[in-house]
Amino acid sequence: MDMVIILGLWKRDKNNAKNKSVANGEKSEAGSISSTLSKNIDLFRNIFRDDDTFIVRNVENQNNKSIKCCILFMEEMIDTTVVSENILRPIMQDNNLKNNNDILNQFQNRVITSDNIKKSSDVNLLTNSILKGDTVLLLEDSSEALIISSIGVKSRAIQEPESEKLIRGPREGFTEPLMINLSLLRKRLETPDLKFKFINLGTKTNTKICICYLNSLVNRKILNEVETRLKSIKIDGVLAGGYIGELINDEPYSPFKTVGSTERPDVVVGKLLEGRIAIIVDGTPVALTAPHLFIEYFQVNEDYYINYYFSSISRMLRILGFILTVSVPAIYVALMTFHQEMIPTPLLISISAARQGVPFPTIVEIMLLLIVFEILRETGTRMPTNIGQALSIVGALVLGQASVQAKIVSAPIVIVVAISGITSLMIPKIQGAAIILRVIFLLLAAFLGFYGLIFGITGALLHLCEMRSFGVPYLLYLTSMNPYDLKDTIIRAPLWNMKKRPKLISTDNMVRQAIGRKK
Amino acid sequence: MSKEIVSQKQASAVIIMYTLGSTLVLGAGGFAKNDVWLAILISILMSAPILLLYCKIQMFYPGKNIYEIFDSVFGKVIGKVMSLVFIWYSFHLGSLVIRNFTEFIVTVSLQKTPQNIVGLFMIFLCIWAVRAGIETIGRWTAIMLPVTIFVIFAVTLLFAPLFNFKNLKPVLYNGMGPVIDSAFSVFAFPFAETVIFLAVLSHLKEQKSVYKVYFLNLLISGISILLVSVRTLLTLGVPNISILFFPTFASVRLINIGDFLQRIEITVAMVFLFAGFIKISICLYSTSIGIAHLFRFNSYRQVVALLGLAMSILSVIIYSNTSEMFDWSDKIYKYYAFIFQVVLPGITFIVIEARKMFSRKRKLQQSN
Amino acid sequence: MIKRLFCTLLMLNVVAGLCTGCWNYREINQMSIVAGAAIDKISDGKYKLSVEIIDLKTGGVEAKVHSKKLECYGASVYDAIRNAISINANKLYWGHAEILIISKDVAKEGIVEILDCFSRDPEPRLTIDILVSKEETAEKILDSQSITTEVRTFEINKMLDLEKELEKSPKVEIYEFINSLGESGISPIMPVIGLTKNSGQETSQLSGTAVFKKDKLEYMFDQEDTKYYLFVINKIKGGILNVKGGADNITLKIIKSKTKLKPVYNNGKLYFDLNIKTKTSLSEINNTTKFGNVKDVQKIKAEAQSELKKEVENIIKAAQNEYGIDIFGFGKSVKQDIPDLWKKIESDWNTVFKNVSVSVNVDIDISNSGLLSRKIMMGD
Repeated sequence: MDMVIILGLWKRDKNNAKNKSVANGEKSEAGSISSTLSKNIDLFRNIFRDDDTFIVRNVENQNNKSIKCCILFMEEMIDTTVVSENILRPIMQDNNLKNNNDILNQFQNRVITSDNIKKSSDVNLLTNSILKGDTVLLLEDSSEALIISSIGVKSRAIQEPESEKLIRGPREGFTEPLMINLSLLRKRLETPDLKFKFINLGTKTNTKICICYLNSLVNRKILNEVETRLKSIKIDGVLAGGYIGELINDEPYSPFKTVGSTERPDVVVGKLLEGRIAIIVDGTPVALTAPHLFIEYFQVNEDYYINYYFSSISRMLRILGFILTVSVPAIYVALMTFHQEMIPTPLLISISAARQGVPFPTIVEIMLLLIVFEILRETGTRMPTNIGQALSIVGALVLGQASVQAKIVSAPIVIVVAISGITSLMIPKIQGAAIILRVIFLLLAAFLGFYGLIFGITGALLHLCEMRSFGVPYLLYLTSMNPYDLKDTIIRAPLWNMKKRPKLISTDNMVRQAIGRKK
Repeated sequence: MSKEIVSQKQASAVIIMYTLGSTLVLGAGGFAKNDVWLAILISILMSAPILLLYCKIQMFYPGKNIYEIFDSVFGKVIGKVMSLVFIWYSFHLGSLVIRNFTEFIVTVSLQKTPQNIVGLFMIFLCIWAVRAGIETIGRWTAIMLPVTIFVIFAVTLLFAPLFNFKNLKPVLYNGMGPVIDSAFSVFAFPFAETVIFLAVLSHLKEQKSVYKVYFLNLLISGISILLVSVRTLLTLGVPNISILFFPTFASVRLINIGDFLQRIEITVAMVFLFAGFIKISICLYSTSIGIAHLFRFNSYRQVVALLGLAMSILSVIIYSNTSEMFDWSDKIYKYYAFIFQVVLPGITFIVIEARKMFSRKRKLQQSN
Repeated sequence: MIKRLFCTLLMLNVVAGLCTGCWNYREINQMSIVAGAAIDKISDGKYKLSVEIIDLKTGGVEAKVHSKKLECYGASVYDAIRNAISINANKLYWGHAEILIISKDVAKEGIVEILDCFSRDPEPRLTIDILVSKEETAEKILDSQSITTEVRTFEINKMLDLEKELEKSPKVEIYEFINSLGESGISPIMPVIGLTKNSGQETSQLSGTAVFKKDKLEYMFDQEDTKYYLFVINKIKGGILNVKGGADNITLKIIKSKTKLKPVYNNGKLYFDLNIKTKTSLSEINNTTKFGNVKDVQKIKAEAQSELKKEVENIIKAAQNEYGIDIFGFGKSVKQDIPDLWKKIESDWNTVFKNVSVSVNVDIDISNSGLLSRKIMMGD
């Protein structure tokens, strides 16, 4: 624990330094466009100088030569059919264009057949629109320009997320473009109650971020908190949802996250229906949800799609898995080096026999093997899939069997590390915290035996108890001592039994089912 | 920072854990030999009126802790003296409990480990807990109390084959004397030690539930202590209990279900430690808010670490050996604690009542 | 900068604490696991401790358990235990010791220091079985050949555990012994172990009960008597009952047995009611026994009852008349049921015990006769 605090102190210095450098990020010159076409073109040419993908295309109408206009766009961002069919063709071939003051409105309302057109004279906005893939139409003698939506960026198709697999249930996963992700949410929640609010973050990346919530369910306090925290972020770039998640975290030094993340729209809808808030970052197939409670690590969307007995069992297994992964190495060390009287005699004899001739102390042995396991895991994640077999052969045969036969490690240790490793893969999202806890517990156990482990557990639990996620206690439900609140924690109660939304997260509108179905 | 609020259930959990605290380690009422059950039952009855007194004091000044109550009952100067006495009791009690636990750990399993290291670990956790606040302690206990109660009852079931019910006889062989004596011991340790909670229960969500908190505690922890003491008597027998330092722990070492479920004493030690952690934390909390009140600090959190370390240092120098510790806790403690558990609240209550009567009389006179 | 330095120092401190401070850390393969021990005394009054330790040298992938014997001497038992380091290079580890054999000579001198040593130290468990050796040294028991396992004392432990199927030897754990030693109105007992021949080699055998007065060995009695002694103290869980009436030879298997001891104080006279209620099944009869109808069963029952009654009365009489030691806990039962009387007679209980009368009532129930309904027929 000391280590965390110390590291934290260290980090705080760095963070301060970072904030300062970010604060004076460049600002593009503000202002509005003039009414001269050539001046405006020069203005934009100047903004996008040295950028060869910036295209300026002059257009004239076939019938009314007096109308001069020009469209600006980024070559790589647009959909060429939209530009040629919906913008260029109508402007060039329209028969009834009159060159009067109303011409911009004519273009907007009658001529151009694109779906989304806005008027603007703000150079900043126009620049941003061009960057985003919109086409800007400039007109002679007009101090306003049209922003025509023509985004044509290719994106990945909607696929099933690799990291959150399930057997029964919807297979759609988020993909990179924000709008597609929002559409996945909207089509599941056909209600005007669903609100999308945009914020742009990142002085360089200017990433669009969407706050989604259900207006009648959301807790205003939490919503305001989320908004203030998001607005206080001053960073040059937001490349993925993880950035936001880390920057709005409640407990910056904790290994546990207070912001949840998922790749599945159905999960997000489930959270929204509980009154939570989702934050979706453009360019990331991950939605963040807040507040995020500890128990959500163990809740999987499939729990709600299958029989509740089965899902209760699997949920308990996941919790057991977490307990095992953090404590099994520590328990082994405590038993083997402090409390030998607790091991049944035959087991003690066989383990003792297995340890004959092993040169390292138990604690060193187990640390070595744990590090090896983490190396294998990390290699497995980063490595191209088609050489996976080689890794498993090396990992299983060479490191496992051969090292035992060569008496470098004892066989029971391999079993212990394997249990600890496999159970840690059960809940991938909590892995980071699990590794840290495991090592702390292990050191404490090597220091004071089981008593050290007990101190470790006490401390870890204390840390979880004092944590809050956006003002909501991190261990909500688990600590209430009210049996009703345990319904969706270590077990998953039948849906007809869960008639209310969670306390504290959703405040006004608690009732979920008016009358639950009787058995 | 807004005032911390603890629900009635969490407060009950904390107080139950507190009462179980070191009682599980040291055992209760062993002096009464075969009649330990009777001694505990009598002490539960004895505790009821005194707990009622604590509740009444709290109810006169809802939302105030004992230090503020002292101030408003006795005035600034005497109130401060009273506060100082109360602070001393919680401080001293805290270090006694630390000593009990370090002594336990070092005696039963870590013989070579220096006692102060173990104590340092414990007090570090307690400082952390107290700094995190009473809400955090409440939440922590809400998770751990069910575990504790479960272990107590489950282990009792495992004892069943070892029970020798003849150990309960003869009843009252040595007369009522030793029974009353040890009932008084059990009253002073642990039931009336809940007087410390007068410094904590001002955080209750509804002040009225203070009765519920105190009496639920008496019921649940009373039953648990009774269960543990009786099962120890039934398995070990009187001669063993009289010679063993930690009979509860020793009795768990006897469990052997089919050569498979045996040697489980560490689970029991674990539960002991959880309860002890809460007890030390509450004592430290009471001391800290007392000191903060006395010296008018903004927040008690400033002094927690210092007081915690002082507590652990006192725990090391307080006794020179195990025998001294048991001598003190068996023979002297009950008289010593009587001052803080009965006399101090008693005087407070009388003064409150007297003031009330006085003011009522004055009102009557005025209206006449 | 200063902060950083401070942090580094703190971190170093923590690391140093963790590295140096494993006070109780001990590796499992650096200690000798003790399976059991035998205690003798040599001529100059020193204790001789023969310890059986698990030998792991032969270990490896297929862990075959062997044992070794270690002999060490010391002025006290604990001294002898520690002296083992000087010949063994490992500290003895007593957490898994199962058996403690005390030689009869040591037992005659008193065993309280042995009990003290083993219950004061936190390492050995209170559930160690203690036995008295019948042979001249207890060490001989450890030397004898074991049959089912390689570890002598583990086998003795198993024998004691399985006594509930035979009920010819008591099983006494160290805390039980301390209990009956401390209690008034009961004398502690212990099982006895001796040597016997099995296919030409010496092996150990449980052989009866040793009776202690305070902590000193007084006398021993054999296995058959032990069975009836166990009947009196209500410790019978199984075993068999052999009945010989005339030419009949009947063997009954005990399914369940319950003994109630009730002290009665009537008109200034103390006597005991001993009610034995046993449920049995017929497991073997010989040719001459009549067995076919209800009457025959009644007859067998009556025979068995009178036989058991006779034997139980004999063992009580023997204890009363020959040694005058209350091994049955008669005094304890008086203390528990008639405490007022006990206060008066406690001081001269030994004389009271010698003359107290016990009325034994036996009720044997033969509930079935196995797979056969009558005896095996023999044609002419």
